Amino acid sequence: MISYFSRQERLVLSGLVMILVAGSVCSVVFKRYPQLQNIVNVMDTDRLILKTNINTANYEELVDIPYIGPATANSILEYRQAHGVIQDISELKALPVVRLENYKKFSVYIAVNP
Amino acid sequence: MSNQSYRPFIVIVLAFAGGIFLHGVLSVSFMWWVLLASLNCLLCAGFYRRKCVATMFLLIAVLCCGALYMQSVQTLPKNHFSSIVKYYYKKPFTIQGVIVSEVEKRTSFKGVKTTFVCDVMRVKTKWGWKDKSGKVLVNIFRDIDLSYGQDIELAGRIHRPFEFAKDSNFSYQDLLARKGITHILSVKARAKVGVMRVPAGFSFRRLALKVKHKGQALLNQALTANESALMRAILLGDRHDIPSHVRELFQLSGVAHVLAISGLHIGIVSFLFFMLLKLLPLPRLWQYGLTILLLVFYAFLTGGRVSVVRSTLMSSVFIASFIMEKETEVFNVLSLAALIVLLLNPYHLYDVGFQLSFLSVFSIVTLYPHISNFLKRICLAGKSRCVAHLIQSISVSLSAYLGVCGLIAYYFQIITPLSVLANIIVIPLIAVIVSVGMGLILIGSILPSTIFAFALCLKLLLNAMVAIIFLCVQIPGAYVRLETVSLRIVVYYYVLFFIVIFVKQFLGKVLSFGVKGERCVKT
Repeated sequence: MISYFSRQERLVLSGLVMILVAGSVCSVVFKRYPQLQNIVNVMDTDRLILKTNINTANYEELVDIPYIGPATANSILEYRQAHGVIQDISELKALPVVRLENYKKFSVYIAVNP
Repeated sequence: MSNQSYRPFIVIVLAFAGGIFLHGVLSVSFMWWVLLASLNCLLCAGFYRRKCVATMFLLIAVLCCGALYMQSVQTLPKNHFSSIVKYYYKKPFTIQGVIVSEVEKRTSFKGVKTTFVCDVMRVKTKWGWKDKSGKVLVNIFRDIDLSYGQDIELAGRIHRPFEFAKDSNFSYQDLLARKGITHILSVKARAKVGVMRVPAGFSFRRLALKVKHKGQALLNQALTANESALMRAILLGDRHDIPSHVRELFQLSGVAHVLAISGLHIGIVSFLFFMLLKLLPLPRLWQYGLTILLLVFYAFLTGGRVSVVRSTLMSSVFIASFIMEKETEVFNVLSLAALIVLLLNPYHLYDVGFQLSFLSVFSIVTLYPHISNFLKRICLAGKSRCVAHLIQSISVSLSAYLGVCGLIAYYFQIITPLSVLANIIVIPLIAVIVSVGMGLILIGSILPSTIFAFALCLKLLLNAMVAIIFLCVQIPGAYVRLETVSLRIVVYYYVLFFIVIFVKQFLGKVLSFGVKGERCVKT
């Protein structure tokens, strides 16, 4: 029966069969264990974001962080000079130039000890 | 002269590109270029018996032709709308024109914006409608249903493109100028946009855009937002929706080239097209011809960027060589592709994509055999098939990296020593991802019930690829950020690069000549 197919036909068919098998298996597994989907979906979480150390970053590095502008960067540097090491990133919420909605956006890109 | 050493396009493209470059550097008037070109043409004709002298004059004429071609593209027509823009400062600028690009929906600080390029036909003035020309980038700050080829009328504020960062090498104004766009028309969300005529009849570009939108819809439906954005970049050439953190990972690991459609993607796609066409009972000649046609269609579909045009041209020439049963010379084909790209738009010479695309292919073709042979000599276990494949992958990645690392350091201020390792893992994954993605679009549009299988496979592959890239970036020394890289260092690097290549080539020729001589003596 196999001899009815040419080499190209076998290649295309085997590719399709592999995709259908892998897809069906994944579908069953994800339906039975929905928590696995969260483990697989790394792109939709902040697990793959490269975080900048807020305690060691200089002005240029701070400005490079999304949603942090020159005013916020200067404010963070001044805060570090005044209070020393930042223990928790939520301390930045207290800065006068930082708005809460902005804080929520840039907080995923920073860490105190990444 | 043997077919292998006959490379006429190399000198032609070098002379033509030299002309474009000199036009930007020297302040020589248009008339002088014309005089020089004519004089050299005459001298070429006069010295037609002396081959070398005639060729030299001909090449100088080609160089002048490059400068003149650039001048002709730069010169705006008398009725270009930019001549009257100064009278519309803070006043509404009303135009009638045709949409000549894909209509894209992008997120902006004001929500969704609809953006496209419009070919201006008329401008509303105090004295009524006046015929004008030129291209304008239109930003409508709302989601509006428009499509390629429609005649539209709209009013907004006209302004020059903004420069986002003054200290960076990137200039948005220059980027748009290279596409022939001098101004942006910003249209308010409430402004009226009138569609005067809906295009009728067949258009290759419109069909390509229709297929692209269908593909986008299928990917959006099957995958999550981030996965779909990545897939749209890899398959359809839409890079603007890739999440910034994912884009950064690709840049830091030195595999950002897989996000731009290039030779790798075109190679896989042409293989897939050819495989599918082989399943049909068609003569071999038809299969080759249809593969070329489908590749051109794919180039239109993906927006026709430099790397796509380059790889489509090269692939088409290689496929055509099978039809004509003639061998092709890779440097000649590469030069021909460069010449066509420069003739399409001479500004491409200054485009980072153009420089990276052609330099990487040149580097692979010249360095790959040497690096591969060197690695085979080191690894005595090269007889094993697995090791041979590994050596091949390392050689290709390393030769491409050596070719482009100078430019990457200059333009992006980064060095990515680990990119060779990352490429060995990512490139096979990309081959599978492109194949499964094409399967999703092709089979998904015929049998929507099977989309889930393709989508789940893609989900696994995409997330695995990004996770692997993330791990690569975590390795110490994976990337080094540089403060600034001066042009002088880059020039030194490439002078050294070309010296090494030419010495290698020269030595290779001398050695092979020596071996031939020895054989002659023996016989």
